[in-house]
Amino acid sequence: MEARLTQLGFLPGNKIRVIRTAPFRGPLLIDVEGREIVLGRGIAHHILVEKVE
Amino acid sequence: MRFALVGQPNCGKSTLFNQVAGYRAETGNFAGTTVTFTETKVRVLGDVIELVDLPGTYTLLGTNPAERVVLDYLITKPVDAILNVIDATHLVQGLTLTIELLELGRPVVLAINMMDEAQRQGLKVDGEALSRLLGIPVLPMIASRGQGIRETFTETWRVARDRKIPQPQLFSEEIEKSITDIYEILARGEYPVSRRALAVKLLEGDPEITSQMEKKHKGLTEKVHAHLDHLCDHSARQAVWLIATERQRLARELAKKVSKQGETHISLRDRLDDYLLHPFWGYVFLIGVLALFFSVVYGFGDLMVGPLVEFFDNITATVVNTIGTSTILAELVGGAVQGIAGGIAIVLPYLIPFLVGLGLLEDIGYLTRIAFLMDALMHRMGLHGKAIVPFILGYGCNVPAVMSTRIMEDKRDRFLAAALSTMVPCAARLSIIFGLAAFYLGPWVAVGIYLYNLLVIAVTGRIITSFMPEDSPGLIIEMPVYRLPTLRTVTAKAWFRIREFVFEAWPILIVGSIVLAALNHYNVTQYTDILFRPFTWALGVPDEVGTPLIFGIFRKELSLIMLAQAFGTTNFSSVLSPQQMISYTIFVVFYIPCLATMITIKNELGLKNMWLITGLSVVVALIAALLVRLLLLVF
Repeated sequence: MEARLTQLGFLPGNKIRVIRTAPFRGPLLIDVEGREIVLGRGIAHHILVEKVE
Repeated sequence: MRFALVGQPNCGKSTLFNQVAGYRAETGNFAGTTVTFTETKVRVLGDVIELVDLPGTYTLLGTNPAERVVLDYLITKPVDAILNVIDATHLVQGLTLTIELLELGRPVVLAINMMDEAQRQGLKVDGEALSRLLGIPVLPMIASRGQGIRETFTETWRVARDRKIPQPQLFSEEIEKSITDIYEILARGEYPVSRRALAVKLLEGDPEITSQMEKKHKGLTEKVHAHLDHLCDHSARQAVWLIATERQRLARELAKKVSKQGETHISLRDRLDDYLLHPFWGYVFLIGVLALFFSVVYGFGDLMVGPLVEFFDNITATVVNTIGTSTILAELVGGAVQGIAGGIAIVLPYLIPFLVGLGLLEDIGYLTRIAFLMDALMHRMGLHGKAIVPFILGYGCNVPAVMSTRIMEDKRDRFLAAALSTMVPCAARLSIIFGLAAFYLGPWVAVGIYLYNLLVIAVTGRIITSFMPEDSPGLIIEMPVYRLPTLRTVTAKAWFRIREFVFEAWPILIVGSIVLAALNHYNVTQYTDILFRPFTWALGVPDEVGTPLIFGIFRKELSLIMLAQAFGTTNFSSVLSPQQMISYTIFVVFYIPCLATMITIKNELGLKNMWLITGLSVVVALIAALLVRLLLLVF
């Protein structure tokens, strides 16, 4: 799992941006290095982020 | 010579492959369309080259099956040159893989694809500067239009001939020290890749390479562990993460140097997504798209089915007239014609527009958006958003539905998606719902049956989930940009999928029809009715429907057509009560997926799962029909 996220660019120190979310507690659409990734809440839950800007 | 095509998912690698190889690889605007590799021979400057299209991979970590395939292939097979394709609009991510490929110590050529798309986005990529920085040839390409392909192959041929081994991009000093220290232990020429690459893989903890190397080199394990600990102490991060971060840092620096973003305006994609992924309008649009999709598919199918069935009925009549009725030969030939007709007249008229339409939705990039919108709902059934694809397909024909479960990585998810999607009433079952229930009892009964069907599928999903808990982490998929599909790729893709039906399921359908005709000739049907007696008794329907149910396994719509033969009348209201019609229709909708679907399940998921899903469908059919019978008795 870690590996798959790594591949998609979820690495410590990287900036990500949540573009939008799907209703009914649906997945998140996240911008990682200019690439848009759909991420289920289950996984998104396990990603620690720090708010920037 | 042998070239390997390597690139990240959805970078246009398979499009390139198909441009040079004719249509062999499945392409789609959906990450991870290719899971195994395809080979072809191409001619470059008079040389015959083996070209292999490896599955799309983000990195060479080998953590999922597709990536393992790529890694093993690149490490063990004699590849003379790596042709790396990256998407110009995702330069940083693409270059991360390029940097990893450079480590292998093999000739590499970089093709920057989708230059047209980059231009549209105001992005300028300086290929020459990148070529200087990386020390490998870098060529611009627009694979979908065939631009830059010839140049790319010529260049690849050249580096392969000259054995131009590129210099790897160097990591930070700490990591480089560890790498050098480890690769000095390794013997030369162990693999066709560089020792540096092996050392990196050891630091990343690749299980296969680690176990192979440990056998050959004493003290390697200790050394690697010492370095891992050292690196971990140094940075409080695991080496595999450190290296990945390093690669991305290098890629980011490279991309910064060689690309210039012109005026950044809100892209068409963002504006479209504001509507298409809107919490309300997104669903309105989704329903609209699906309604249009189905009406076109059914419209086209209906238009074709009538005349085609008539045409084949005429052939059957001619056969019977010339050979004479009720001889075994006439029955067998009739059976064969029926089988052929089943494929051409019943399945293909729906399958073709369905697959073309699906190809369009996929290439435009809408399919992933459906997955995004439907993910929350699909979780209620123990599946995630990707499973919506087999469901949508199921309404046309279960065969492509089962095939499409390939897009799911997890075995359990694939099984559940396949099992549930075979319960979706396909076009053939639609003819029964409409021809029997709706025709005699009114259209609202048909609507009711469809809703009931959804409910049963959802409940079944829930129940199976309680036995096989959802262990897949959920949806992780790249959202593709919108792309204009080309006629060529869409039709070629449709053909690619139709071929599987034509060559794999259809022959068995024909043989099955012949066998059935023989059974019919020898009047075995009386006995088969007995076989179904437990079901007919439970459902409270006449024994005669047993044989039509068997025919229904071969082709679902036969369970209606044969009903007429079994009762000797087409006015079913004279032989069946409304309750019996509803019970029968519901049973037919759920029980045993047709033979073509069963064969597809066997091909996709194995024999065991085929029987499991078949058995499950009978149980579900029985319970679903019984519940309705009880309900109708009460009210």
